[in-house]
Amino acid sequence: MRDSLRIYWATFTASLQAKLEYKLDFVLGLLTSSMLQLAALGFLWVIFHQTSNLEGWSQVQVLFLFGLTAMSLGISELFFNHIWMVPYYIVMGDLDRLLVYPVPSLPFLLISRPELHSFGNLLTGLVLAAVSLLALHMPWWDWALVPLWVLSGGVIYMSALVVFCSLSFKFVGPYSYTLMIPHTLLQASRYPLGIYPGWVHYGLLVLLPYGAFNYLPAGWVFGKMVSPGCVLAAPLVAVFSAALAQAAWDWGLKQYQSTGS
Amino acid sequence: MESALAVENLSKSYQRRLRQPGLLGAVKGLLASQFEQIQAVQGLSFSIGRGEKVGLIGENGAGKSTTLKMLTGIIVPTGGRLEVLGRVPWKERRQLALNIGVVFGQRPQLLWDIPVQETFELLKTMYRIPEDVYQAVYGEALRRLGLGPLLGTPVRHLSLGQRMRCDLAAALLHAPAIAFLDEPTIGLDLSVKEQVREFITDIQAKFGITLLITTHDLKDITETCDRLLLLDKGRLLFDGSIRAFEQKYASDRRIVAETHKPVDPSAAQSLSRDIGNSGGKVVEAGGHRLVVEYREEGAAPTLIQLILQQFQVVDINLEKTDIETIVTRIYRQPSLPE
Repeated sequence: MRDSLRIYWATFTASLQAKLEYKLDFVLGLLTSSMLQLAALGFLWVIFHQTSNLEGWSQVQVLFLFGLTAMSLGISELFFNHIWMVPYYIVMGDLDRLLVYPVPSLPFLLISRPELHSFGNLLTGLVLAAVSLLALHMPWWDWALVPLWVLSGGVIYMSALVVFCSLSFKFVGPYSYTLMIPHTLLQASRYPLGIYPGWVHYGLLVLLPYGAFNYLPAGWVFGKMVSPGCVLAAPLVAVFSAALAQAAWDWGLKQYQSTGS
Repeated sequence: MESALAVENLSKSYQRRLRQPGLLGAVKGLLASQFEQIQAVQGLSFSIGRGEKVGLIGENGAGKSTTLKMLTGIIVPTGGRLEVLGRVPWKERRQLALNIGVVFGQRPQLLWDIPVQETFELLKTMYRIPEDVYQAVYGEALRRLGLGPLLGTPVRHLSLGQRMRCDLAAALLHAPAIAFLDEPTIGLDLSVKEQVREFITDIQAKFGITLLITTHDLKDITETCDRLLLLDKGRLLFDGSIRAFEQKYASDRRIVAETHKPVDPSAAQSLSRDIGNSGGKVVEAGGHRLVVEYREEGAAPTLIQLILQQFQVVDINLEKTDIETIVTRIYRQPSLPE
């Protein structure tokens, strides 16, 4: 286990270092991801021009939802972004090389291609969450819990991507559009879930449990929910969904191995 | 000899989606796909001892890569048994990976973004390579393959030939018990091919690595291997030493003589009678050229003597079909001699 972690860390740092050498890439990545977040904020501003609250959430409170979601996305992009390449690898037969390394294939794959625009999302998310917590004078423990939620969020989102990706082992197609489903729904999950019809609302809490790292914790922070389960949902769901992702991946690899190239 | 790997009655078939032509066909295919069954490998049996150097040849689609992928645990066979270093590859792929080295000439094995040097160091950690082994292979790779100037370059910036050399070094870095090399010299120029073969031979000898090489360049095999497996349409057609292969298929040896005067047909006929007992046959007699074909390895001196007795010879040459020609001939044959 210690050995594996050492290998992952060495792979991650070496890859990140290599990417950071392209300074222009880094700057552009930072800019584009921040711009995307800001564009969403513009949209939010338009909404709140029409109404003073969304399902009882004020604009500043929604900023915290946006912040948590952006940071979770950033974590996932920083540590697990390689998953986006897998649909291509499957079609091209490039997964072979992964399978001849003496390390667990999923974590090694995920960690070995950090994405630079993750820093844009992490940074913008941090600013949004900080603005929200400062403006509403929230106590220190709310701040302290943010890393737990965000790390869990990164894992939960990654797991969703892995599960969808594993499907493409069976239903081989040259595009990663299956991965756009969990991605698009992540964008949808940063609004208070109560605004959605029930099936979307509960879908985002149970089937694709993004609510566990944005809606529930934020609801607890702003006193809309009182159950301590809202605090702990994120890490618990993260552990569970990571296990599910691993199982889906193992299933997918079996499909790959029996079809050949 | 201790066995490195053994396969018994190994088979692999898979389904391939049938494509219908045109856009309409593509849409139809989306709705109702038809599949055809491809028999990539059928009833393959062979075993390889520790330290053996084996070349695996066959036409495109003969099942070479499929076999290699089964041996490395990347794909699961549909039938038969296989065991590599005492393990069933697809069940214990990761444990096996520690003790094998793999190169797929068509695909890069290395991490795309990381500079070569760092990849090597990563592999050192990953395979828990002892310092002395690492230094030995690494030093040899620098010396033989000229990797020095490439070490700082990210893999994706390397040319095919450079990448291939790095890939090979990476695959042998941990001095694996078995090296599976799938077309290790593909797309390389002649001098680099030579470097690659020397490197393989050196490392093999130093660590007693079991080699299994697939290739279309038979020189790879004649220079690095001593045993040959020939696959055809998923079946094993030949398994034996390279010498045995030549003896089996290179039936014809030729003596080509250039004569001072034009060859007299009647003299050629009489020669034909004379050499019949010694296993020779005149296959060409015209102009200044006389060609005698024979099969027995030791027959040449007698035959040459007989020729020299009857003709005034300016020049004489012995020709043996080279392995390349033999293999090409086998590939072209529609039905093959078993």
